Amino acid sequence: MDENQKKGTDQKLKDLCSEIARPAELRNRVKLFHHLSQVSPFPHLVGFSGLPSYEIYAEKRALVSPDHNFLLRILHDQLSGRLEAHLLHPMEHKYRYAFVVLESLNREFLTDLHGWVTLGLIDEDRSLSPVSVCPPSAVFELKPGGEPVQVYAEESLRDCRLRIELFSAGPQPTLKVQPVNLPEGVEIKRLVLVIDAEETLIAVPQKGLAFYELPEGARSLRIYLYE
Amino acid sequence: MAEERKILLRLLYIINNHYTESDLEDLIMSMVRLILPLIRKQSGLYLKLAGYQPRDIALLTVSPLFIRNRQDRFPVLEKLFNWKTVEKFMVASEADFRRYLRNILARRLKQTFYYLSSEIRPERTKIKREILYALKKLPGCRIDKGNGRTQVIIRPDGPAKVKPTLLREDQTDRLLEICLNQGLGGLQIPKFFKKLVEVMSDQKLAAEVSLNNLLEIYIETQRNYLLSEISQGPVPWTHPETETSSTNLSNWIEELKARNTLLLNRYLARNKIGKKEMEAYLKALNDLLQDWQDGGQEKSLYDYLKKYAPEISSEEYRKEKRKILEYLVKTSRDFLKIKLHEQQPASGGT
Repeated sequence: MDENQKKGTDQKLKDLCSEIARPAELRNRVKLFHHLSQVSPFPHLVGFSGLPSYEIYAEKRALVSPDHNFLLRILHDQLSGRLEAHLLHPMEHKYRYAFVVLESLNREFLTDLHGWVTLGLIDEDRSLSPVSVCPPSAVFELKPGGEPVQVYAEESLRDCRLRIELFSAGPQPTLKVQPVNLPEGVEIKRLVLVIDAEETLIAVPQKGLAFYELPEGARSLRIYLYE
Repeated sequence: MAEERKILLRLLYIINNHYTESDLEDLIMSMVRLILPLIRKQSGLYLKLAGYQPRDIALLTVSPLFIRNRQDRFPVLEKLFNWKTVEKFMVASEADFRRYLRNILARRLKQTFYYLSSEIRPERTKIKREILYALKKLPGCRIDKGNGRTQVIIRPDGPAKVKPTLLREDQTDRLLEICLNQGLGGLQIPKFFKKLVEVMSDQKLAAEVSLNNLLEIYIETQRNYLLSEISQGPVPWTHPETETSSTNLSNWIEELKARNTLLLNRYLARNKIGKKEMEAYLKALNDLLQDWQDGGQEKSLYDYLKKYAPEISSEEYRKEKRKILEYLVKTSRDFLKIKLHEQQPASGGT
């Protein structure tokens, strides 16, 4: 291997490591700002039921997007001391499986089906500024034996398709996912696979591909694309 | 500290969910370093032909291990290197761990090749079958199937007194050089090998190479055909793919794509085609350009277009679309010819 090739390989490896360990430079990021209005003393947790009552949680602060469509409520779990966050938006595809990026910590978190995410034991004052969110740009659904069906896509990814191959011969069934028909200049930085609305796997695609090892008996799969 | 011990420590940090970016980097680097030689050993020219470099394969092999879940953990990696395994190897010898790691990576590498088989080996099985068929009929060629691999022995008939020089597996570059310098590109498989045997007979050469290597030589020769077809003689062979030629070619292809878009925009402006149709033409042309780079046109122009415009019937294609597509293909080919002509004096070719 000559010197240039070696440098190229080392750079690619560094890129992969930083893509895995750090938040991606996602194109659809929306910056959030502190909401100046009084936070509710009784957090009404939309889409969040059957969990501990409001007495356990104290709402610390709220952040909003410039268009006021995104609302991120930061809650403090009084029992564990952890910070939790709840992302809200009028459209479900915007808060479900959206990345919440705490830029000062250089970390990203993924919300769940309800827009809920655990931030953990982090310093509230130092970590919560600046914060941005990145919703998926396209969502595909895959049922056993079927073709991937686009259930949501932003304008730029309307023509995007997913090429899927399932390899079940090995010790673990593996799903090969490749977004195709992407517009010029669009790069998918993250691919998230949600298995039966329970298990979530976040991949950093290499050469536009991701290989997921599926658990036994996986039935319904959803694939989220982030540019 | 030995490399293996370092890897184990990095794995421990990751299992404990207490890792830094540099731990990850070290671990990924170590794994890639371990599998790169395996990739180079296993893969031939076909990786390059399919647009994959060994490091891409290495990253594709390693990256599934680093798929995270919402809790920032790596389930696949942690399944392979769970607590029990790591603890066992902390007290075992480093050689044992190296063996375990190499086995795991080799197995995963094999899987990666399998998962990519549809991309890196298109049409290869078909070509291989044709090569076998042609070689069986050709005097002086013998096929030896043993130890799970197919070996081709080419020993052209010649005077018994003259012992031919035998080219072995590690001298396939020489065989490729012969094919390129003798202008075998563009020939169909039976003629290609017939001519190759004749040339080898003239040069008093014999060869014992694997069928896979012969296949790569055939494909690489066809790939170079595009470069050699317009020159007065064949382009002298230096190296299968030099940095300059590859960069030039990709620049030309980009330029060509822009030209095709421009031409199609004119058709669009004159209402000869619709927007959707234009996209289909562009994609079909891009596929054709890719195939030109990978050894040549693989199917009819209609099939290239139909892939992106399935609603077009063959009758409709013949009546309205064919002349547009054929014109675009002709101008693309002419464009490449001009570029190649321009390059000839600069590169010192004949």
